[in-house]
Amino acid sequence: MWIYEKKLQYPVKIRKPNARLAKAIISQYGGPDGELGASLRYLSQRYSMPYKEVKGALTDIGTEELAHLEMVGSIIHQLTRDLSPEEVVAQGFDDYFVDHTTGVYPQTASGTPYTTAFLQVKGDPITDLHEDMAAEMKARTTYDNILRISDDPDVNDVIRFLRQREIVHYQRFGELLQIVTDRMNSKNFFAINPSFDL
Amino acid sequence: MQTDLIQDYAIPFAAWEMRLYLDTHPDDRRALAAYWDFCGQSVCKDNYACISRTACTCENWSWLEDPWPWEPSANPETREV
Repeated sequence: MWIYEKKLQYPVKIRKPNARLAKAIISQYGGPDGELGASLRYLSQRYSMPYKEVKGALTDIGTEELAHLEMVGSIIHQLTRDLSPEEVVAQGFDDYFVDHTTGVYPQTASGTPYTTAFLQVKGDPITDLHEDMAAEMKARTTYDNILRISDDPDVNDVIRFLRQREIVHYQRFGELLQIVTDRMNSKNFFAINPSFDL
Repeated sequence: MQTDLIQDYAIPFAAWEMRLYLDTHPDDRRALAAYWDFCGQSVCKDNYACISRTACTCENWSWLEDPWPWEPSANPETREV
């Protein structure tokens, strides 16, 4: 069950609209390595996990990714406010605007709608935790790329927070992988799936 | 402004960060003490990091205990069987 706290995890307060930048950042909303994929991946993987630490951490981290989804949505919302039609065209935002006006739509930076094909739930704890570690690194790289192309200090402050969280989550997933392999017989990590065979 | 940032954002975040750490280190007593320290501050009592009733004991990190809600034993009967 989820409770909603009516406050962002970290403040988003952007002074200067920039629809061009919004189009790039929207990949962290609905893109392959974005927060929607991350939250759905972790919240879906937890059901087949055999160990309580993994159930708990996937629940908590998946929940935090929803909070990040909300922050990215807030960034997009603030970057696309108060635009004139001329600015929409000049900032290369017209193709998105035609279909969504200034709504926040889960899609990649290049316009592909979000799909669950961006993630995997393999039902094997070692496999899924490797997926999760990769996911966090992919998200971190995406934030790196956003920082390369953005010179807005209000935006970059938030992006740096979100980027740092990816690194911390990566650390947690590494520890979970260690916990899982410690629980298994070291002679046959890859011989059984504790989610199914035990 | 600075006080708002620390009270409203930094302290709940610190509690949350301890919570994630406790998920992978549930026996770390210092971490548990730090978590309850943050959650004890009145600003934290009802916020996202501290709100779960099942994490309420001070003795250990009971948040992780089985069963989890998707497991049959966590759910009562809803009809006569």
